[in-house]
Amino acid sequence: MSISVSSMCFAQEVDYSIREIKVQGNLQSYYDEDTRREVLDSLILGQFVFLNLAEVLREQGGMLISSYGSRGSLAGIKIRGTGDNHTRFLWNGIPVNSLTTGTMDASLIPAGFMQSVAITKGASGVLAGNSSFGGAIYLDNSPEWNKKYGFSMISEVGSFGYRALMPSVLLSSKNVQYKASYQVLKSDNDFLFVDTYKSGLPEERRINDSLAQWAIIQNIFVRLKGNIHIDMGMWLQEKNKDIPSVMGSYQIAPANQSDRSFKSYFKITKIYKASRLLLQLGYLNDSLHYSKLSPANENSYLIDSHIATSSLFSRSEWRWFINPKFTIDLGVHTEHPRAVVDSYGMVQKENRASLITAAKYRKGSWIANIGLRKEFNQYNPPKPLASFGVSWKSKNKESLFRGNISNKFRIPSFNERYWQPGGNPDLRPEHGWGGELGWRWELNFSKNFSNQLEPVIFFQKIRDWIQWVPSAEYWFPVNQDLMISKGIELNGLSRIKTGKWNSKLIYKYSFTDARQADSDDSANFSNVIYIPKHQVFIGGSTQYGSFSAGMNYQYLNSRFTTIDKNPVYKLDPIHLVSLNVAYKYPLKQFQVEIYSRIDNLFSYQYQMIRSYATPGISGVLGIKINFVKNKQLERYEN
Amino acid sequence: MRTNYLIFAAVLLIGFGSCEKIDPNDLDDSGFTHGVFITNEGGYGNSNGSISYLDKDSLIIHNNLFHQVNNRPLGDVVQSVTIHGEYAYIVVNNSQKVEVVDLETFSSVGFIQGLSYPRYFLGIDEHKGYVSNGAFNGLVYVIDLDNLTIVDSIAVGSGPEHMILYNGQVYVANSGGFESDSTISVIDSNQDELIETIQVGDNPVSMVLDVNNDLWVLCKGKVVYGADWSISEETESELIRLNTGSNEIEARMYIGNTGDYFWPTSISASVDRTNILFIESGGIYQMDINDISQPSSPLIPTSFYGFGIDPESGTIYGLSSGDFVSSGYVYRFQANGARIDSLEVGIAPNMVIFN
Repeated sequence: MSISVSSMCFAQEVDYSIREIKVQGNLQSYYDEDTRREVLDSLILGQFVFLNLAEVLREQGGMLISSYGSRGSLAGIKIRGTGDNHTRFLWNGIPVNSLTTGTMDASLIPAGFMQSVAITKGASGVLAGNSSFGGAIYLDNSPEWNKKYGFSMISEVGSFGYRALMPSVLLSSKNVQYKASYQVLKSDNDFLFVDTYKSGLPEERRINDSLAQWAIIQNIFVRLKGNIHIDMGMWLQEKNKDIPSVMGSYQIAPANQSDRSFKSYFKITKIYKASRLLLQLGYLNDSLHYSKLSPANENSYLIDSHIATSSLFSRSEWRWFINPKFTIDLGVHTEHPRAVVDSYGMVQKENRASLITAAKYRKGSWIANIGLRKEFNQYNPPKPLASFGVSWKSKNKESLFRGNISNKFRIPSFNERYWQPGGNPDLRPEHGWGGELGWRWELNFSKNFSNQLEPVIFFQKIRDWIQWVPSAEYWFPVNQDLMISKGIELNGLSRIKTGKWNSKLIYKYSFTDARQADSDDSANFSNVIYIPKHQVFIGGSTQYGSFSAGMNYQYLNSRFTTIDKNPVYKLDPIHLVSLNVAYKYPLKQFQVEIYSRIDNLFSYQYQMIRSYATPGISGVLGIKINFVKNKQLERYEN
Repeated sequence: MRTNYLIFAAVLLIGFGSCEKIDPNDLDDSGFTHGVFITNEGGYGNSNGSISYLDKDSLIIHNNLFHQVNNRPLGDVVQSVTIHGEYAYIVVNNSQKVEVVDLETFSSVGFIQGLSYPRYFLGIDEHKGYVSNGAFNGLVYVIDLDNLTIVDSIAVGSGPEHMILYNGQVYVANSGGFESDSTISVIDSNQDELIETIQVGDNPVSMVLDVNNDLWVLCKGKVVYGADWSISEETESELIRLNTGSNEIEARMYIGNTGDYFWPTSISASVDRTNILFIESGGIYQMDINDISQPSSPLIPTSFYGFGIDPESGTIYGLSSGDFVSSGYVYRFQANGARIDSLEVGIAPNMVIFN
């Protein structure tokens, strides 16, 4: 359970129960003293309710969002030089990465549906599980027990035919709460761009790039006597996206992808005097239809692919607080994925189980975490995994040193094993280890001027890295390579209060050296494509009464798109500036907020993925209307 | 906004202008008219196809030639290049165009558009050319070369690929595209009309004329998958010899083996055209035109993505595609199969032609 703050832009609830949060926290969040964990709470997410998660994370900096261009385009998250299929996504504890590709299209996640988004870079393979080499992203919904009832409506219009609407409702008694949000969004994405792949560098209007999407999320939270909490939720959405041609194309081959996703969970938690028991079931059902018509014959499909997957997930965890210094976790996770894909030829299904144990020991300013994990499956389970982490906080709490090291793994996706022709059922899991050292330094000059600086050094090694290689007629995956990623991150935060002005400055820099080879011989190492060596993010915001404004700047240095670093195919550096302003009008129990956002302020022409155009300057104008009735703050008594 | 685009374009041009440029001193006086062109497909969807040029006199190879001369990428999936008169016609499949460049300077003089899935260009005369097009229902487009426009189209089989002009007739190999076909379409190049369809082996893809002006057709065979993706039907690759006077099949032979998961796509002829060379799973094989079966051992025991033979020297160029995300290589062999050297070229080289 995460901090209870509003996802519907209600006033922020005061967090009065850190112990309750920690007691109920998932494995990674409970054992997080030795990792770098960034949490985007509802105040941040509330600024971007209609943005998908990829767009929100791009506004936060510090990771690479590989997007194919416009709003709603396929977007993967690459952390610390690893691939899209090395970032683990969990929704209220349920893993939601695609069974077929192993990735998660972050454009499918409406950020405004979540109470919090926690990003753990270099997450522990023991605690986060499969596909977490780069990190793990936790999407959580939580109750707001201080609210009695509330309603909000958010509406936006913007450039390139963009319009969106999101009503939300909250109903709550003393011990039962219902929350629901519905979102509908459309965008034509008909932006102008210069086609640098065509003779004469013509300016053209993007076609066949429209987006239509709707989604609904509902949660019910129940508090029962005996310190029993029941959470249940469902999330249903459909997205229909036209796929544009690459730059330089002279004829459009209409392509389209429609995604339908249903996710649900039921979770029951009982808190005992010195322990906690958690039982959870989750069910996912996803379908995807991708089609590409022949431009010469609109009745013929070049590609017409259907994918349907489902998965049943269970989680049983027991946390035992042996004494104030020592905690142990035991957990059993099971997963039963099933896939029906045209190109598999038959239904593929699997049974997987994980046995996890972790322990935390506190002594003075030191905290040590240790974990063990054993995977079981019918296919080819990885070897047992271990993790270890330690942190030390100075007595004045101004310094925090931490370090961790962990085994990690990735089970080959269903496509890699079963796609025909080419699928390789004999693939071994990717395996390796990663670690980091970090130091967080708090420097508060006064109560009105505080600073936080956190340098981090990280290292990652992946063996049996799966790569698709061509044969004469088709591609097939093999355990071919070794991948090494290392680098430095620097994260800073400054807060300044002058008079009635509250200002904040966030600055992030990362250096990433990612290489691949087919052996340990360093002479054989070549470039990992699309990974920038240098990334910079600077974000400033200020608030004066009901007025707030902010500006962000992002920089990615040039990136190679071939492993031999051919300079001809290098993508130019990227400079992006965004601007936002907002003004709130309190009207008795209503609050009205008018806001505006401008992206790519200087209309910088760039390509995130080679030959896919991106929009220049664009704007959004929005209005939020909130109505809330609060309860008196009270502590829940069992 | 437009000003920003122009500024960006200018920066782009300046940026590329500062990259390595073709040194005129590296070329002989004939520009790009005495050398070897290699088409590099690039990776699908990455728009990094290119042309490499080997100057046969200086033996200097110039990679990414089009981009260096014209300051823009060539496009996505460069399928083929054909020399016709003073120009080279570069077919860029997934950019749906044919770029036309001057052979003296390699500067673009125009392009042909209105295509959906172009594969090969064939020059008919000074004013007319053909482009094979289509992954399903195939067409051969008739091109007015004076203004680079489509003036007519001729319906042929599925997936038309390679074309050969002989004695006023154009033979079109219908490779099946995304389906399957087993025909050669014959077009009267004066009337621009289909006059005959010849039944050959499964999925004909490449052709060459021998010293007797017989047409050799390489059919790659087909694989049919069942609902569970097991192979329910597989036919062998074939070599077929066609008499161009009667358009009758005179000889046919199976090559390769079913179950070897190799479908050959390249055929060529020796300098004197008394031998046919083709790629199979074991390598590049050489066969006398009077033979009736595949040689037991290859001339060059390496299988390549494509190959070509220099009509002047007989040098064999084998094209290694690599991993489709980094540079490929050209391996050169003497006519007797002895290795000469190797040269780094663009991504996924698939075709070589000689000028």
